[in-house]
Amino acid sequence: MAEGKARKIPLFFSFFDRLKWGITGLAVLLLIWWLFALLIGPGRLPAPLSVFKRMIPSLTFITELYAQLVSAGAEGILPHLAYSTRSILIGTALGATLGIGTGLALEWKERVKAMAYPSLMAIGVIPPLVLLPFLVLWFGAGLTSQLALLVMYVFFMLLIYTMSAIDNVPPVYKQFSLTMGASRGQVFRTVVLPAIVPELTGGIRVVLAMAWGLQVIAEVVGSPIGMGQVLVSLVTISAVDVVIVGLIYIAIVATAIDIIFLRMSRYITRWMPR
Amino acid sequence: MQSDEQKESVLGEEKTVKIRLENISKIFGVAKTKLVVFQDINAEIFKQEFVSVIGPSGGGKSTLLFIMAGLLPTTEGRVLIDGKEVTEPGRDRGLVFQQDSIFPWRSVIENVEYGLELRSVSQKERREVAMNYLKLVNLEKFANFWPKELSGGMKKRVALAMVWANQPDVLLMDEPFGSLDYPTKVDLQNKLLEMWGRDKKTTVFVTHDIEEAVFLSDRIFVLTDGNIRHTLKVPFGRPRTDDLRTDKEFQEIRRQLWGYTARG
Repeated sequence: MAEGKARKIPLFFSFFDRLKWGITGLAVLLLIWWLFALLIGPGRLPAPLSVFKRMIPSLTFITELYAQLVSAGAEGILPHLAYSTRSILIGTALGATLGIGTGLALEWKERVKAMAYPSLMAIGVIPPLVLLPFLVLWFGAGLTSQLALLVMYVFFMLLIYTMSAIDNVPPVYKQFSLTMGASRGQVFRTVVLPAIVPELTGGIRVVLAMAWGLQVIAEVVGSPIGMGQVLVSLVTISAVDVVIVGLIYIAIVATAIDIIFLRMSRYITRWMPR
Repeated sequence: MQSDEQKESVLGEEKTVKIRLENISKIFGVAKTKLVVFQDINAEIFKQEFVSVIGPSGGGKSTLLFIMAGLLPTTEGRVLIDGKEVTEPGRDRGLVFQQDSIFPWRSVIENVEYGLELRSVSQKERREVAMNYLKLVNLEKFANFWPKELSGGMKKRVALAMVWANQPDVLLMDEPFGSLDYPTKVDLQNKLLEMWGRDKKTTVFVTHDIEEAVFLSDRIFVLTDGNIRHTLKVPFGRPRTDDLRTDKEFQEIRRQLWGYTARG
């Protein structure tokens, strides 16, 4: 048994290292929060402990919410969180599929790209708050208009990601493919498609995080359910502690989705040097 | 039978032209930014011939090769292969690139299968063929590795196997061993000659390494000052072994070529 002085290579970060430092980071955040709460007073920012006390009961029942919301059986955070999460996943999946598909189609036909590009840009730069009332007007308040908002922005972002990813494919791969006898379609399928995957997974990650903001905005307008509605109802009556509870739950779900998606995309792009 | 063919090429009997370069000029840019790479190149490369193109970097060696591959247009003139004008890249002209060009998202064996896959060869058959070519470059143990797990020399060998498995008519090589260390380079040069000896595919090999050019080629073109200024016939027979590298006449030819390419 030769127990040498095996030095740890700092480049390799084990799961436990990550966990350790993650907890440390959260502890630092808690400390800052606590100090800040002390400084400005619990009326304006509740201390961590008083918020944590409400974490578990809030899942099923929030008194303040009971007074505000009309829909029965939705007095806790759980149904709202589930609703928003589901909307985000559906909206992102739908928007990403459409955005990537359109991006590929535009790059395939130069003429279509030249024709569609200005209009798509024009639609993409409309601020969500301006667009939302129109969507509600057209589709009514509810899931359809919320999804429409999310799908539109996810679509737009992934369209740009796809076009720029295609632009970034190193020419040597396309050239090699051509000299091997590939047709244009074969180059697209066997080189362009696999080459853009890493950039696209990066794009989807960004969109998944951004989607929460959009979904919450969309839910504010005339939706009886969803985290947006919960947060806005609670903010109007200054129930700051439960607002923070809601934000923490959103952060937990968003982090979980991000970790799961990162795992998946790491597997799909396992060919990449890291 | 192999020695018969060698005699033929040494004596220069019955040569058929495989590649003809007709008044080729390449100019990048226009007006003030105009850059004349080369002008009015005329040359013939014969069937089953191994020709190297040497010359200073930036002299247009790779550009010339890319034109032959159909990846770049000429400004003037044309390239004829078997009398047919080159207008686009195609399977008949395999190109081994200077940079890593094997697909990082495909495993080693999937890379070698690539050309066969393009032609819809059945999964079973292409795996078999690819495996044979992997064995030729001694990489059969790495069939299921990702390219990122290979060294530079191994990646080059995969690229060679890929191009060979695709059975091109003409082999174009753009400084393929330029980035490799000396022993790896020598090893791959021998491998290349061994493979070339099997079917004597017409080969155009671009390099800045004079020893490499002399060791591999039947003829050497010196591309400098915008044209092929010198053509040198390498007098050594085949098969060639590493002993040749230290041969006196070999050194003499190296010195002569050095004189052609050194900047004055």
